[in-house]
Amino acid sequence: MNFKAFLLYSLVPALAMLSSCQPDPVPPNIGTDGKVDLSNYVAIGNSVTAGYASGGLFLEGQKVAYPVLIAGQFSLCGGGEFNAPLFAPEESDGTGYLRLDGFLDASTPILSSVPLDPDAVEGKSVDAYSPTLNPDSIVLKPYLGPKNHNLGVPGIKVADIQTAGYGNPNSFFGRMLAKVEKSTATYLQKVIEQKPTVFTCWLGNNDVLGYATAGGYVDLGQITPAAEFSKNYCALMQGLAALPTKPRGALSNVGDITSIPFFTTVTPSVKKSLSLMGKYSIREFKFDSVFQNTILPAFLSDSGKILDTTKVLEWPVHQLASLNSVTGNFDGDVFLTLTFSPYASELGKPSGKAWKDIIHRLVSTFTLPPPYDVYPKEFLEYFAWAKSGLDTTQPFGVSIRNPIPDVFVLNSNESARARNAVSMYNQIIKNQADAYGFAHVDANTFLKNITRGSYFDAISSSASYLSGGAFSLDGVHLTPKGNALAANEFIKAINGKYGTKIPVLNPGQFKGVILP
Amino acid sequence: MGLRIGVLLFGTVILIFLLPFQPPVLPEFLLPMKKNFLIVAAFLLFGSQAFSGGFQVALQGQRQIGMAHTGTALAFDASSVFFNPGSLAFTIKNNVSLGGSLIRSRVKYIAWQETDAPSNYQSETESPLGTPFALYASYGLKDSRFKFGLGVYTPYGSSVKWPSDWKGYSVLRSLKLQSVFIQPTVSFRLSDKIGIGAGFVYATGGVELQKGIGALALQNGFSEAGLKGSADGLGYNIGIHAKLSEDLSFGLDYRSKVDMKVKDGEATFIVPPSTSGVLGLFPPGGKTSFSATLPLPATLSAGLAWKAGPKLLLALDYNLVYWSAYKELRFEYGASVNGAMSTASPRNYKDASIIRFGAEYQASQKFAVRAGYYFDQTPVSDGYMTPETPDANRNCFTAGLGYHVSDKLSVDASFLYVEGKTREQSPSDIPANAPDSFVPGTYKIRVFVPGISLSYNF
Repeated sequence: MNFKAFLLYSLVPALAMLSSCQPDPVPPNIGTDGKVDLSNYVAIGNSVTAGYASGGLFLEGQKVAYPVLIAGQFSLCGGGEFNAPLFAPEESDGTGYLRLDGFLDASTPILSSVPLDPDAVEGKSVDAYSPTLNPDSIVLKPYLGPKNHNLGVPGIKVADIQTAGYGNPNSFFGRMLAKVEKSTATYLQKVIEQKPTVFTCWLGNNDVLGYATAGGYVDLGQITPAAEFSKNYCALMQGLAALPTKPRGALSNVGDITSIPFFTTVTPSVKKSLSLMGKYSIREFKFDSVFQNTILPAFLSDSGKILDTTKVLEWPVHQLASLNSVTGNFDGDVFLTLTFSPYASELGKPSGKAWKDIIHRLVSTFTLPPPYDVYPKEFLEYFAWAKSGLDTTQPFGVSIRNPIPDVFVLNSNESARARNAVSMYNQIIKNQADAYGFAHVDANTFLKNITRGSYFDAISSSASYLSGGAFSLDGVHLTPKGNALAANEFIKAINGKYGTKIPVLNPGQFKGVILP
Repeated sequence: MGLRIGVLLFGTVILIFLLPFQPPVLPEFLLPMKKNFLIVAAFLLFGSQAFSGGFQVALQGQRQIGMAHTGTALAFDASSVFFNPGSLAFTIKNNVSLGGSLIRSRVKYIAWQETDAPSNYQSETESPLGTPFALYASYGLKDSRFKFGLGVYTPYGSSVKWPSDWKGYSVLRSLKLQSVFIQPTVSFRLSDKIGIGAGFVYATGGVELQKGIGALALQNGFSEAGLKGSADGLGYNIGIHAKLSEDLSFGLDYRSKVDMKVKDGEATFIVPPSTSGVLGLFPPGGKTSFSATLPLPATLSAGLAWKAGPKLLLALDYNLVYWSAYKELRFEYGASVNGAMSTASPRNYKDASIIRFGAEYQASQKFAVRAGYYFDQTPVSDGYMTPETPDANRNCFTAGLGYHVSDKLSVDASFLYVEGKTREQSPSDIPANAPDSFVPGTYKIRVFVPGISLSYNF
């Protein structure tokens, strides 16, 4: 009796065990289920696509560009070969980049420049000159590796994609081309030639970014008109859709440029310190045009004569050019650029630091015609300084005689223009995605989520400069972690559109900015 | 009378356990009378319990583990110091016993899945070995109604170690919680039927925790925060034992909450030098002190033991663990850490029940075989499952073997197998105010615990 009973009772847990034991959970099946042909993936885009980061394109950055990360996930689902136009190991520093060496104080990072890798350079050409992208007219050595699938070209705008011979002014594109193609090929042609079976396209940022990062200073960057944007973008999509490979793809829209750390880092602290000073106005001033229209001609006619510096100092600034002043409490639509950070602490003080740097940089870009070329640049600098009418004994940024240089300020009109352009571009991109049945990546929302400071799936990210994790030292381009987050957005869009099961990356395993 | 109650109760219990599994039809041929088979069967039932819900460790007596860690109504030996001080007065001999277990736990993790974002990511804890132990001694003069006892045991603890680069490294890399309870006890037999007992608990232990800081990358890997400190606390254990009849006993025991206080722990931050220097995000040199309180919850236990036959002993226990005391895990720092003097992570545990059913069969003069099952309800609500205790409702299976070497010396061995239900931590369930304390995904825990003890009567 006892025996039986014990067995009976023992059987209860035995049966309980058998019925309650579960296998270990396993990851789901991944793959494309034949819905997307991943054999020939081509990435279309600009600097972000190329892996540009911290103010430069270099080997380490190229290796973690989001298309490279996407291709890695594709390869788990039968994806084909994917090569990026990597700098050779001996050219690894590429165009040079910013490095974070330390901090002067809690809000002042010490950035230094890793110089351009001389091994990456073929020579110089006036054709390659660009005031922001390539002020030194550098021509990069051609890429000689296996067939390139990452057509990310730093600096390229949608406005540029049908420009024949774009490889000359943009050496990043030029290095992808054979010599004979350089002066004839358009970007669009090269994309179509690749006959992708699947593609990602993230273009359009530069059509507004250059304008914004130059503080709305149009000599440095202009906004592409929506009509031109539309014409080129539609041509690209039409070309892709007409390919016999019937490619699938994902089109990403353009993020709100004012939400990137380039604009959000300096602005709040400046606004705060100005309000603490009890001064609610800053004034910006467009000096460059003054220099070209007034100072330079004056110099050219005055040189030889003895300068009466006391007289020129009497010129008030606002007589030289229209003063672009901004007042009020800046409710979110006035932005100071990240490049303003070295001068932020000078606000309200009698300081000429910002103007000194601006004038120095400006003068250095001018070559005086003979016979004036015998004058040292310092002389022109002195002259410009004297004629500017600036009075740096006045409080910087607050006084009409010592305003903030225009290139550092995106004022409310300028930011509205930039945002307006972005929304028009994004409408065009969405329409094209819908028209051809391509997936649509909402990078605008994605960037806004990052900006808000998000924590999802054990990964934190925010738009905080340096510590936010997603943006690199230049405050515009992505870190490896930011690239992984972006790659996931594309993968999600493709899965969502085509019903594939391509696995996402784990961005937590990628790094943000490495603090010293 | 008592017998009938016992039959009734156990009948009900059997029913409870049978219900979820469809009452099996037991053909007669399944019940051979061979000893060997029985032993094999007992080992097939291998199971024992390492952890209970949360970070409770139900491994306080090898004989009891074999019987699903029942024991509130059992009066085996000095181990009643833990299970029910009221029972101690009913133990016949003076006794010293020393036992220990070897915990191997494993948590399997699968990343959270979204339809458009499947993930092939998986990870698994690096099975750290836990070694809970229990030492008991009892002494009473012959014919005295008093019995004195001492217990040194480890009722709470946890040890979990994830790969240092696993997905949730910013939430947790490893955690080690240890506690040793020292409990002097006195038990008094009020009558032949009722005994009471009380013990004072001094608890000592420590905590050691490592987590990565994903926002701060280092040249090599990621930053890390480490907390290490010793803790102590006080509590008590009181119980009553009633012999309802010759064959049926009842026990009620209450083990109080013990607040384990870390007063001067060491917090170490392996971070970029600038962050502990000029940026002032972390204390200079990356070190500061911390204090914390971890509540080890009170437990109310009620048990029945029924001698169902000359050789068969059945036991039923119910535990109510007052986990709701564990509201948050809070660390107070000696210096500002990332702009705050303290960090807090919500836990919001709920009180949880455990029901235990165990049996012992005296197979021969020398051998006893044991088996048990218990269901351990998780104290962790949906959304609050952390990588430190990826807790779920658990089915626990135990088996045990006792061997009388001599009249005085016996050896008991047990085996416990715990299987947590596969549990999902959905991002939408995660408390919005503390997303960085949780890692969404699917977790499954399994625990294997062999154990052995020596018991000496005098």
